[in-house]
Amino acid sequence: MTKGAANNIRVLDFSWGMAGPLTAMLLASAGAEVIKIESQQRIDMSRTSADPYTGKPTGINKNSIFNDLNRSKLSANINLKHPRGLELIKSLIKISDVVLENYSAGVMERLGLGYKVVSELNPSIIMSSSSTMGGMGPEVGAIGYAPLFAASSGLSDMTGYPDGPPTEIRFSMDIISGYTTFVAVMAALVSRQGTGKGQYIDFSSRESISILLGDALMDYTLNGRVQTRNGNDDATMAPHNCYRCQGEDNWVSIAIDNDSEWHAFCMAIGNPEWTNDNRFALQISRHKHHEELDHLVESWTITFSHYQVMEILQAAGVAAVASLNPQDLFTDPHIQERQSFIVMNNPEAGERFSVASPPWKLSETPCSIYRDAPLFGEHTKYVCCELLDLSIEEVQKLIEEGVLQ
Amino acid sequence: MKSISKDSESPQKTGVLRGITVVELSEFIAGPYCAKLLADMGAEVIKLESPGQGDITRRRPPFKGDSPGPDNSGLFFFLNANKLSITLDPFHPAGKKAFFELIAKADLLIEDRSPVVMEEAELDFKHLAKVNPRLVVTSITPFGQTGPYRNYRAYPLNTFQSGGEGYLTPGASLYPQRPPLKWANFSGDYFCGVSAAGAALLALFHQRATGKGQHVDISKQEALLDMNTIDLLRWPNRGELANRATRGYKFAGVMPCKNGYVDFGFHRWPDEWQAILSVIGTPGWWGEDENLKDRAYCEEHGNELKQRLADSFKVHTKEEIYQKAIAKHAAIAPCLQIDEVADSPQMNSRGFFAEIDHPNWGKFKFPTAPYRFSEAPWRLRHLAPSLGEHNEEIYKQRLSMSTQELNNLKAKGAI
Repeated sequence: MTKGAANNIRVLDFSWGMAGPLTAMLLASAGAEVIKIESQQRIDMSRTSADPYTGKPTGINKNSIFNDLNRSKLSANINLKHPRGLELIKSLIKISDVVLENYSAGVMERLGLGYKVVSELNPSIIMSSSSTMGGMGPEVGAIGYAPLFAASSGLSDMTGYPDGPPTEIRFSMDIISGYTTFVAVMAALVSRQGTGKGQYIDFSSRESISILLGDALMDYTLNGRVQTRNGNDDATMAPHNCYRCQGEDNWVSIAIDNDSEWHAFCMAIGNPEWTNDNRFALQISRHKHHEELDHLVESWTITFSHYQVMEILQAAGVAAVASLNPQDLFTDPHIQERQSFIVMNNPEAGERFSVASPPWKLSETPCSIYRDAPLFGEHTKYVCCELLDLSIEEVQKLIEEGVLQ
Repeated sequence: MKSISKDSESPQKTGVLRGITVVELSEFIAGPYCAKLLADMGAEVIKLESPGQGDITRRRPPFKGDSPGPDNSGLFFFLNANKLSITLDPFHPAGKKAFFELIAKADLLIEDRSPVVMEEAELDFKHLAKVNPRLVVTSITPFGQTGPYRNYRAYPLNTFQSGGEGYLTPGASLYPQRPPLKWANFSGDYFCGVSAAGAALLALFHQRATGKGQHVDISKQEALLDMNTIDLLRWPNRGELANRATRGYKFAGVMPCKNGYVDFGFHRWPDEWQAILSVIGTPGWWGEDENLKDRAYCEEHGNELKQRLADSFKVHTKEEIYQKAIAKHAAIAPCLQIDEVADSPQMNSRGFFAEIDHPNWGKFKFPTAPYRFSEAPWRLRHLAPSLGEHNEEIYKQRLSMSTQELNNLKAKGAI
């Protein structure tokens, strides 16, 4: 198998849920040896939660969310609350490059594994602590499920129809948070290549969403304007919306910026009479009358399928893309050619479809799935014997003492 | 809040990515945001803009004082502070030579042109790698470098609809007959820039270890596809087609309150559910109605329950609810408006905003980054550059061009 870019990196992954495990999975997909530290006292919630597809409990090795977010990792069950368990962790810290954790603020310190301790054990280590609010501040105790930080970040308020409520946004928030943490960790690793020094990263998931609203934040801090949800409206483009097409709940998105794009659009749809309306002659005027324009555009799109509109307009160089639903995506010829969906075949969970993640195509060091998500504690012995040089007898004794599980 | 003014120290000396040189041939959101993330971390980013007009975001709001102007856009500033700007048309024969000289000395090129355009101009990875075998090229396009849609055009609205999340937005829709929506402003495209930055850093990590460059192919569609696998995969794995109306909780989610909206939910049952009832002052329900301890019963009677909850939420403000939620460990958060985000005590106490003193705009708060590096705090090194502000510096000092050579390029329209 091709070696990944991070193949000489070892990661201790104390994280659970979604965002943290995703960051660790990205490192694992790049070839890093990622050891997920688990224990009976604190089983990853995505091992124990209901399966998203069946709504039923699955058993700790079969949950599809867990299995997607923990591909290519190893699992070691070590009891952090046992002094000997803590010692083993400290030995692992000395031979690792990255520590990832997303406990509530202060938990790592209480366990005796705060950055101060960790960096004394290994000054070149990179430690990332990720939580909803970050490591300090008055709201640090707030619960941080994904839809909650979508709300407190401002994204919910700014997404939706102008006359409707804010929009709840869920799982994707954790994914964005996990990718953003990966950016920070990789930057710290690149930095270490030059300096040999590690560092601490204090990461806030809520901020990782708020920053995506940077332009709206600046409109407020520069001009005092409070932007809010506005459907699909754009500040300058028109048409700029999703338009109904033939069939059940089929839509196409069309975005037109300048006059030359507008003329290409008019030509592509056969220059119907209404396109000559003076109100639509210039961009600024199209924008002013975009509601009327939307109705007229839709009177054309409704006569075709969403795929047909995309093909007709793309052939004319107009930005039109079908609003692809899950079924469309799964059968889409482009997606199929790029193999964006993959088949996972987990020994306990069986065969099922998943999405290629990370989706990047690196020509020299492609990301891979090195193994299925680990069974609970599958690699405890490997970690203790191969990495920490314990004998099988010692491992057995530690299992009996409740240090290992 | 720390006051940060333009600092004179050269970018190479500070930041975790000091010493990395990036050439950016991209505009609008995703490419510039990817480069911005690296620039903010200390990389030297040389942004190439088309002679004359420059990046499209120079012509897009928000403008300071609502007054349009190429150096007056907050959007441009947000995406391009800490970068250098030169004008260069690499597709012009005379410009191409200067472009090759630039990338010969660079670590990373970030580009967002359509693959066919780069190939026809012989500016694709194959050709660039001959100029500089160490070069990492990160291509960020709507559909990636291969496949039937590779040259399709897409603005952020279109990109968002290509990835699955668009069709399903807004979730829990009260108006399923209305069109699918984008997320706020350009947030989907910003995320594509984040995803691309992760991949670019991975390739840079490899380059610095081995001296080898490579081509990184980022499809925005695939970056977005990765965001909502749970809903997407219901189709191939279960034969269930999620839509905007069905995507939501039975009796949790966004709820109106006295002065706006909150969002609530629960994971651990029944304690987090009980915590929510205690926050909105209806713990009585708990004792009175045994059924409320049964999750299946609650889900089955979701609509009715949602109505009862709504009556209780509406007498409280979101601030009251949030304070109680923190104290009682209930999973409720306010849906903050953008002014409330900017004024958030939490985010301000963490230094998420920097105060910038701008020569034309005065002092204003600027959102920095969601991560704090212990070794290298966020800092402003340059204001967003004017179009071609660094032409002299880059062409003359970096590429050793004479004044006459520079003027020739200008005369030919390459700069």
